[in-house]
Amino acid sequence: MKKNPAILSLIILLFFLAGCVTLRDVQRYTDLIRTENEIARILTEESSIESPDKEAKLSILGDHAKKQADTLKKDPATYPDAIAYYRIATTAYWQSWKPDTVEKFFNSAESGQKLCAQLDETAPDRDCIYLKLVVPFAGLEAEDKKVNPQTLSQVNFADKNATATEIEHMEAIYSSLKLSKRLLTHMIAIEKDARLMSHTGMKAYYCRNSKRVIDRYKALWKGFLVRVMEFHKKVQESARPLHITEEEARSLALPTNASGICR
Amino acid sequence: MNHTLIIYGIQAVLRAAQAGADLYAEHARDRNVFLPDINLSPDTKETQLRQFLDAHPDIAEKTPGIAGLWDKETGFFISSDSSQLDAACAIMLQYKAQIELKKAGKDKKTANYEAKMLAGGRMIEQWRAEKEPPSPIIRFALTLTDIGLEFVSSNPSITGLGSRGEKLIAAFAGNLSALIPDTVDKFGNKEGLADRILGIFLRAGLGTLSNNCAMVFNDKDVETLFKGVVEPIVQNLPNDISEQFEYRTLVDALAGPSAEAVFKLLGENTDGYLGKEFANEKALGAVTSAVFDAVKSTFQGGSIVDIFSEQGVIRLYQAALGVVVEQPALFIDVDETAESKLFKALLNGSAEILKKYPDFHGPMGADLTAMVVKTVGQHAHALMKLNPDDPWENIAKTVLEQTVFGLAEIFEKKNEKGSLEGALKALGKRQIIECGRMVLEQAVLTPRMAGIKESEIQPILSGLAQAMAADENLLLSPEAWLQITAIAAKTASANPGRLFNPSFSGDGNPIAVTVMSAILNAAGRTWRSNEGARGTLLFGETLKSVLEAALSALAGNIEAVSNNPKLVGTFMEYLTGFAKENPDKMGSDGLIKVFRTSIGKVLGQGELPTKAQIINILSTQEI
Repeated sequence: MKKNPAILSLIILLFFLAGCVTLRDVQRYTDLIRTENEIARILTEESSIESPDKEAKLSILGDHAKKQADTLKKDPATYPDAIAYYRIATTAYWQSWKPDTVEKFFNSAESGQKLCAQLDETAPDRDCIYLKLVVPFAGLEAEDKKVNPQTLSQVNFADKNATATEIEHMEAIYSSLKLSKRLLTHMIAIEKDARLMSHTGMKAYYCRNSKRVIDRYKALWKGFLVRVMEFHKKVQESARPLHITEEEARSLALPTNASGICR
Repeated sequence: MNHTLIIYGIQAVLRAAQAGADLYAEHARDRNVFLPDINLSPDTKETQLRQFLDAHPDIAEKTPGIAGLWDKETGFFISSDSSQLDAACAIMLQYKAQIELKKAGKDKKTANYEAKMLAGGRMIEQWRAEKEPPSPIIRFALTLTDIGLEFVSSNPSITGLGSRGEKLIAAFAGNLSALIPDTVDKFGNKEGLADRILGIFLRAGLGTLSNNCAMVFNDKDVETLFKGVVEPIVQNLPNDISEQFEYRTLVDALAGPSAEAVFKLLGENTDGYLGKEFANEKALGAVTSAVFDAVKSTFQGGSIVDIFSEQGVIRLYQAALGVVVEQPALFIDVDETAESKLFKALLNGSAEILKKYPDFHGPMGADLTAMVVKTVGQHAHALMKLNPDDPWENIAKTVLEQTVFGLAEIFEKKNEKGSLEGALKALGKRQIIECGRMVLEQAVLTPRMAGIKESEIQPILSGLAQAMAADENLLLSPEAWLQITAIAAKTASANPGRLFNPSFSGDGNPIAVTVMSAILNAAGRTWRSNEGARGTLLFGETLKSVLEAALSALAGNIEAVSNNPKLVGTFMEYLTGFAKENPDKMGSDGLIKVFRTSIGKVLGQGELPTKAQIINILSTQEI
């Protein structure tokens, strides 16, 4: 029998072409898994360590993941992979939280959410919910680093006296509560996403963290409100006026049934 | 070969591989991944409390201590005051612990009990973790905890569950509020000192328990200690900053030994006395106040520490504590308030007296003063009957003055070379003080002897000093002289105004001095003429016995010797002469026997025994 060299060549070509595509895919998924594993390792094994080293490693991982995502987003077929990489990138940037990563954090979250919107029903639930949540979560955590219960505890109007520092703290707490309320409102709005209800893992993740930040906010707000009331009722000597009324302080209350899906 | 089949075959393989890649892709994208939780800063007590009350409004509404500050309508704890928050947090911790314990299967009663322990422990750990300075009571509680932990590792037997040490720490904790004034802002600089004193006293208490396995301190004793000792030490902190520095330095040196003295006394006075109160806290407070006030006050540029030294002040304090336990009423005024001014005046007055006598500076002077305080204090009621218009502290000051004057005269009896005379040079300062104590003790037993205007203490000591100076050949040991002093003091107390009163003797010296000097001079002459002990009887125990017999005889008829001071000297010459001539008939026992039998007639009638009478005495068996 005479073989047809052309057909054979075609078959061989097809084989090799197909093999190359598969190999690249496998390499990409392997990289995804490895990047994921590495960030998980840093965040779990080095969780108690705050060091420039850790922040640098996270930042590098974030850059790598974002680069992969930015490449993969060009092909709709790889949108899910891009979304996964954007998830990794936002996590890495959130946990490193250096000034030069903030922009990249928002960029990654936004880019990933856009891909989620395009995929619509077929978007990966977990990653897309996470890309929505990560923004208010990171924002609330950053705000807590600036103003938190320790700040509140430095204000004592029970002694009927208000120092300039105490007034400054109150003003800072007020600004922080206003921003935090907006972030919380944004976070609670995500509960309308049906996927959150159906994905039990993400629901648990959301409820665990939202409860903490809501409880913290309420406690901080109440302590702040009590002090505003004490200032206006008890303080006889003040370094300068406190331009926050009781009404303004009360207006920072969260809706009564905030975080309904977690009850 | 069918080419289509090969192509299909390859496609099939590729599709299978692709399916695998898709599965791998799904695995890569959808496998469980790590999502970080939000990292918030730690809650403070306040935010913890507010979160807890939000979750348990029913507890907020019904629990005393919280309900009063809970706005039911708005669901608010309406205070930011730290002491109110602390109190509410303690309640919260207890509830949390109860909930946990019930979840773990404990019954209600056990859960309630263990919850208090858990809550307390968590409260302590929470305070320790806080960065801002805690309130005074928290600071003190942490001090107690830290010291308790020290003993847990070094002396576990006294700090285990239900142990004596644990009970002592609990008793201290129960009394912390005694250290804190009604308004905390009045505490000021005293807070640090109070914390330090508290630590010193707890260490001393636990140390005492470690060293005495039978000792137990009860809650009432600890309460008395707090109000009567710890609080006055803290309250005496001066307001002036530079004076504070000095006070704190002194307290550092004094507080530890003071605490040990108090606990020692506590142990001595309660061990075996079930239910007996250790001491009256007002009286204790008066003494402690007086001592710690006196250490900082000055007189003529000094304080009692300059005169008595720190060690001496502790001894004074210990002596005063002894009086507090026995005679608490001495330190309480008629209106039932503590009276510390007079005792402070006694301390300062004593220092002023002793300042003139460098020999009495330091611990020796303090020992002397302590002896006076203790002895006079213990017999104060009898003495005050004699001097009803004077408080016992004034009596004590006068007694001290007379004792010191009398003893000072001893130190002044120096020869041309500047050294002490006779037996005085052999007696150490301690033994001289002991002489003073013996005389003083007899004096207070006979209140008239210690009478303010006609006290005999000084003449007795002065007279004894004269007698001791006459023992040029050191024929008596220091111990023998102490024994003679005891006899002299006892006899003098039984015959007030007689033995050491110059008006009874014709040569201007007290009769006891005349008689003792005569005996000692005779003994000295004999010693010298025999060039030592050989052939001499009148030295050592024999001489002591003779002197004791002479002193005892002075309680009887002394008419003859009063008119003729040389009588005893003549008698001694006669006796020693007989002994020398008749060594076979008269040894040391015989000499003593003859002397004892004859001295009464010698002193009263001036009759010396004849030789026949001496022989008769010597041959008579004593029954």
